[in-house]
Amino acid sequence: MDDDEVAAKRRRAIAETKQQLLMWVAAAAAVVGLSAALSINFMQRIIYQGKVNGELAGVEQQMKQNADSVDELIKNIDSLKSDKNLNLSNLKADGATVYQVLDDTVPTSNDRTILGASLQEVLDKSAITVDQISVDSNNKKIAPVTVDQKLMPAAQTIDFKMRLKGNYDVSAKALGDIERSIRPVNVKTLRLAGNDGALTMTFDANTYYNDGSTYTTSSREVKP
Amino acid sequence: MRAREGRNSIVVLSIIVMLGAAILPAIMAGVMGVQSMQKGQMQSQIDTYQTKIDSAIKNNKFNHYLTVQNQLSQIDALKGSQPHYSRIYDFLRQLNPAAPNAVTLNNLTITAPSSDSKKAGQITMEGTTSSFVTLNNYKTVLEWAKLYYIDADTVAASVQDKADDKSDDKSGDNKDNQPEVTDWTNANMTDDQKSLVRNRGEAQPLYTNINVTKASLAGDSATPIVNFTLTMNFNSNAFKPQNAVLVELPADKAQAMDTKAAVFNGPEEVMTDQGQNQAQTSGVILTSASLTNKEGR
Repeated sequence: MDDDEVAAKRRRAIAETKQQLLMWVAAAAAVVGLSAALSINFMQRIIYQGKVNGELAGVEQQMKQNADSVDELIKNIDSLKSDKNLNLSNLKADGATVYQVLDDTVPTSNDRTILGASLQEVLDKSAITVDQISVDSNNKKIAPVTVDQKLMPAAQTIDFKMRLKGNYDVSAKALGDIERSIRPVNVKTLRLAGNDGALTMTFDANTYYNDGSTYTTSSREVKP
Repeated sequence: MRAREGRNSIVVLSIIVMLGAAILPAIMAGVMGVQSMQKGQMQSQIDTYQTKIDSAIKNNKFNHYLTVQNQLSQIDALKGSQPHYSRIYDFLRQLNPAAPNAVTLNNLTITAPSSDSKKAGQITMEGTTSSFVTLNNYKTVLEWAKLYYIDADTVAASVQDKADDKSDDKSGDNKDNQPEVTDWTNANMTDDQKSLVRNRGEAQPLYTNINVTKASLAGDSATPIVNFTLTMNFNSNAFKPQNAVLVELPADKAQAMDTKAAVFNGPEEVMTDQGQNQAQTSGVILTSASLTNKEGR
């Protein structure tokens, strides 16, 4: 084998090696590129799924708490039925159940008849004469209360007017009875006129009702 | 030989890089799989809890219990924010000058403070007295009136302290006979209770910004009458249900009051069907016809 042949063989071998190297490097670059693209995509999915799972964990915790509270809530509220302090005649006569007492306090609807009946029941305790009770049927305002209303519906106001007549002491007792009754009554304007023997008391006031609570669940989209 | 070594190194390096590049997405895929499993488990738990709650709703009227819970949670806040204006009857008698400085009212209007507390509560009094001097005296009485008040917690703590002091004296335990703090006003308090409110309470003016907005002389020279209108802002602490309140004048001035004398002496308002007319415009459901049945009791 002469020198030219050897040289040619070497050049061929070098070229083949270069080609092989190029292929390896190209293959490695392709794999790295593909891996980078996949990794970016996967990372986005992992981050999003992490958010979703985080939200789900919160929901699971809340649902667990709710489910655990179900029995306790039912037990606690049922125990009110046997609480003698809540069934005393000074709260409501005729052996009314605690639920009826509560419905008188913060009823679940804007029921004007119930309001009139409960006011009449309170006023029956004094010798006051009722001239007028009128209820504004078109009112719907949120009561200014500080209870956490995140999950529970807020109380709504019911505006009403009353005009009562009695002597000074009877008038004072009637207003005191209204204030001490279990139903919250918020007087906005009070007018007293006449004389101690025949005092007319007129007031604008509001009381409250609260739509019944309903347990609902809903879905919410987690944004990427 | 050296070239071959170089080639081998590059090939090995390429293989390592490729393996490394393949492992990274594989690890991520694993993480995604774990996340997916976690999600499945949580969803399964949520479904279990939901089933339990749905069952309670169906079998135990759970929504009714929720409603009751909501009602209970709101009563304290709603009752606590309700002013007790019936105390005004007590205050009026307490600050009623005796003859010859007597003042009688025809009309009194209380306007509650605005819900945002930006506008203070106001009282307007319309009445009569015998002279401008007695009117001025009445205005001064209202200015002197001091309100002492303590909240229910302070009262409870004081009562408890006293009970602890007398723990051996069982005969002195009359807790059940004590009025509720809401009823602790001048007319209902014992001397001990008054001392407690006076000593531990904060003293503030009962009325501020007292103005005579109208005063006119009427009647004849033998029996002059001054008709007046007074407006003033009231201290809202006086009407908070959680406060025990005491209204007092300086000792020497208090003697000039007559708590038994008439407070109102205006013309009697006639019951008319005005209420019916008002009611019709505001959507009445109950009128005098259906509720006026207790006259003469």
